[in-house]
Amino acid sequence: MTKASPLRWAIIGVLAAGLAVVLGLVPFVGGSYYAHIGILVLLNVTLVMGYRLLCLTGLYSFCHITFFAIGAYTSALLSTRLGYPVWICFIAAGIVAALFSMALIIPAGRVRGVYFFLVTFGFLEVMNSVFLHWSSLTGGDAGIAVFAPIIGTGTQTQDYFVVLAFAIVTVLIMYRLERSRFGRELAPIGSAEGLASVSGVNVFRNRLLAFAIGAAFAGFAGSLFAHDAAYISANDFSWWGSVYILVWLVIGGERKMWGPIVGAVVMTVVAEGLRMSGIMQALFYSGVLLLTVMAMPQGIVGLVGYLRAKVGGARTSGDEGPPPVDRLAEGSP
Amino acid sequence: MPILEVQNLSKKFGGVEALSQVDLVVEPGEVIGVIGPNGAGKSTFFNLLSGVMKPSGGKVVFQGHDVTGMKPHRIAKRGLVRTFQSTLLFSDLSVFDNILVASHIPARANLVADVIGLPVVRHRESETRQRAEDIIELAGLTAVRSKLARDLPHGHQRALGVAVALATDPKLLCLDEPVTGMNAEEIEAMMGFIERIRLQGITILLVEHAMRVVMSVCERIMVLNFGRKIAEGTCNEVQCDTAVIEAYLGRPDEDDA
Amino acid sequence: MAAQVIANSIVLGLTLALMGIGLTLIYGILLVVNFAHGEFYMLGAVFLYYVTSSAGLGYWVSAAVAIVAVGVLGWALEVLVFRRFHGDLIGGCIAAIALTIGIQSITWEVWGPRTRAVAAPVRGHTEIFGAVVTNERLLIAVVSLVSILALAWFIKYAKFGKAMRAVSEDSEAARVQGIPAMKISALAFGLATGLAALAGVLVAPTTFVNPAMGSIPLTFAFIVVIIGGMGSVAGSLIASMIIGLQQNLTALWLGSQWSIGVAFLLAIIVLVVSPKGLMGHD
Repeated sequence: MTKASPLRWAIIGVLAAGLAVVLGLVPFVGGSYYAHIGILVLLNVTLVMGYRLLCLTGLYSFCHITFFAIGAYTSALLSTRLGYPVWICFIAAGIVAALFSMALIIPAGRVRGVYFFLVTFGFLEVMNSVFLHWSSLTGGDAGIAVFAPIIGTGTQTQDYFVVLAFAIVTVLIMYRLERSRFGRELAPIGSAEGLASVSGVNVFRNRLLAFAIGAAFAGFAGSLFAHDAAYISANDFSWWGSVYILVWLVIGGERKMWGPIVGAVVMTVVAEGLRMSGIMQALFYSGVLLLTVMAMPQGIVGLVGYLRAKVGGARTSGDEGPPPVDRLAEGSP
Repeated sequence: MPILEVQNLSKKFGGVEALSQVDLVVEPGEVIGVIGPNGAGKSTFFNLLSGVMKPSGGKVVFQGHDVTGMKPHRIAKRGLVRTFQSTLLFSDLSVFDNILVASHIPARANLVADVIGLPVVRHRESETRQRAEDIIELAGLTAVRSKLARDLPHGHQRALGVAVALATDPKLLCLDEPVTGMNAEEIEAMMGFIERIRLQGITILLVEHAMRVVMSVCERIMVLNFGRKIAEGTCNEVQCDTAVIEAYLGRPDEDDA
Repeated sequence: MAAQVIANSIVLGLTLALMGIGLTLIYGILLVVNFAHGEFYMLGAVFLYYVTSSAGLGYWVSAAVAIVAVGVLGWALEVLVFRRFHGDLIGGCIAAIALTIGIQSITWEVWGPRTRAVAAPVRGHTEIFGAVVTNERLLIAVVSLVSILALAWFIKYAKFGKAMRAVSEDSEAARVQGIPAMKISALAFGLATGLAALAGVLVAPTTFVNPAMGSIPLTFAFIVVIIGGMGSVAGSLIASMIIGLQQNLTALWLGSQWSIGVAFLLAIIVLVVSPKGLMGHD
């Protein structure tokens, strides 16, 4: 745990500034289309970072997209039905999503990883059928038109900057969480739950928090999505969303915080950029997934670690090769 | 007041009685050995004490509080901590990080304050880190401080297991076969480590097969066989006890090193 | 009325059982959650359509061909892909998801945007104890039941079946006894996918065949396996019958749009009471 040298800070500073400039220029370079893509990318980044929290503890959910949906619907309904200003809807969206997550994890959080995965899938399907069938509330198949813009006149560029600010705040909070005591207990839970438990880590409480925080951020993102897209319906939130989030996590690599960020950015941009015919796109996706999970199970993070270890030699944090990870089956003594 | 009182502790698995009516009283600062042939119930005993398993009968009273059947992390927070027979570590973390994870028990931090980074949290944080360093030194692991747990040699891994338990600031430390699989040099190192722990005033319960270690480190010994306590006393008393000799088939001086 | 509900529940329960048993077999023997299981169901129906319409063979022969084809495909996929993921559940899931995407999109490409129908092998209906059942459904129930019984016999008495059980209980011990765990795994996977295809083949004449038809059966297979317990064939069977009944009752009392919601709630309740499902092991 050595402190970074001034040179290192300088480099980081320059990179950050460069990144800020690039991000800031996006809508001016490419117009509202680029801004739209930018919004997608940024929202996806926040989604996957929130998802990662619980994954660190060894529990993989399959309903993260549902919290996004709950946030979107909450915000849309509060805004269109009750006329609340957008910022209140935004906050409510996150809180409501978090509450749902807690209601889910209290019964479901103590079961083995496999069951948890499947139960969250069930939750997703149930909520989807609610979104589809409770038409009086959710507009069913037809959805809800959301008129209130996030800010100003609601152009893509304006929305982009709000979403950018949200993404930056998310990254900062996640960064601080990583370094907090809570954050540092997450990976040990995933690594050796029994040992964490007898070392005094309250496994369930940490998982509850991780799930709720992740859900809250998904809810916030959902709210922004609703007011930016100006129209939401159940079709936006199928289980494919959860698939994508898991894919970004795996491709990026969950060990480090920047992994899923890279995964989300790369895959979103690629998916948009490679506007191939439907089948080619699907086959491409399929192929990339298979390749990653067979050859690079630690994702890009693992690849970087591997390369670093090869080149540097001295670094001990090499994630070389796939450890025999029983990622859903638990091994408590 | 005794630091630990075990009364009539039992555990049944299906029809099998893994542990049956075991009593034990431990005074603060003692080093007590728990020995017995394989399958005598020693690990079950530890599992019951630490809350990993719930007993079928009996009580565990720790520092005057009834902790029978409590959840493991709550028992650990109270100061009763154990190590594991199979080396269980946070394999992807460094030695330092392993100890740091367990070091947070004494510190109660507020998540929001932590995230914001309030000065009081930062101060506590550096205190915790210092304490982790001290424990690393006590365990003799300073040289390998930054190595990943899974890259350590066996002897260091076992020592790290004990160090992690130590980091939780225990009053009573239950060591489950700490020297199994070690060579003579590693055993010497572990015995020194245990002695240093004892000097800190921590009470120690030790399950072991290696008689040499038990005899030289422990003040009193409890002998289990088929889930029952068949003898208890000082090393000499136990060595001369006929029931004990029988249980070990006449080899009370077994030396596994 | 009650008889009707019971009759419908039995038919539904048996079809669900075909899916659930396959899924739970795969988990029990390979420690893989086969997220692509619905696709094999779909392929059974799709292959059936192509064989009947192009080769002009009757329903029965085409069905047999379709099932065998899917079984072989499943076997091949285990060897090529899933073999690496025994025990690595997230990796296995991602691989299965990738296969789902691939299989579905290829099928969409070949199939086109329409749904198509498959001719039913029998017509008319029968009355049993006051319940009216179409002969089609009766056929489904009978074939499913026979298959499940055959499978049960196979697992209990046949050499391969016993080997499968051994691997499912303890693959290390099984290997030590000379059982070729890898071969068994591949065979089990083929068997399980064949069962899914059987379900698809049976249900095809009663529904709209299209490349997306696998996702609902998949969801139900998951619910069945959660309730029954991962890895337990008996559990899956019991759970399937429970869900079969639940579906009909919910449709009757609350309306069919809530059927899946109630099924899910049931799964949650079961898990809270018994975290490994009713009969789960491992």
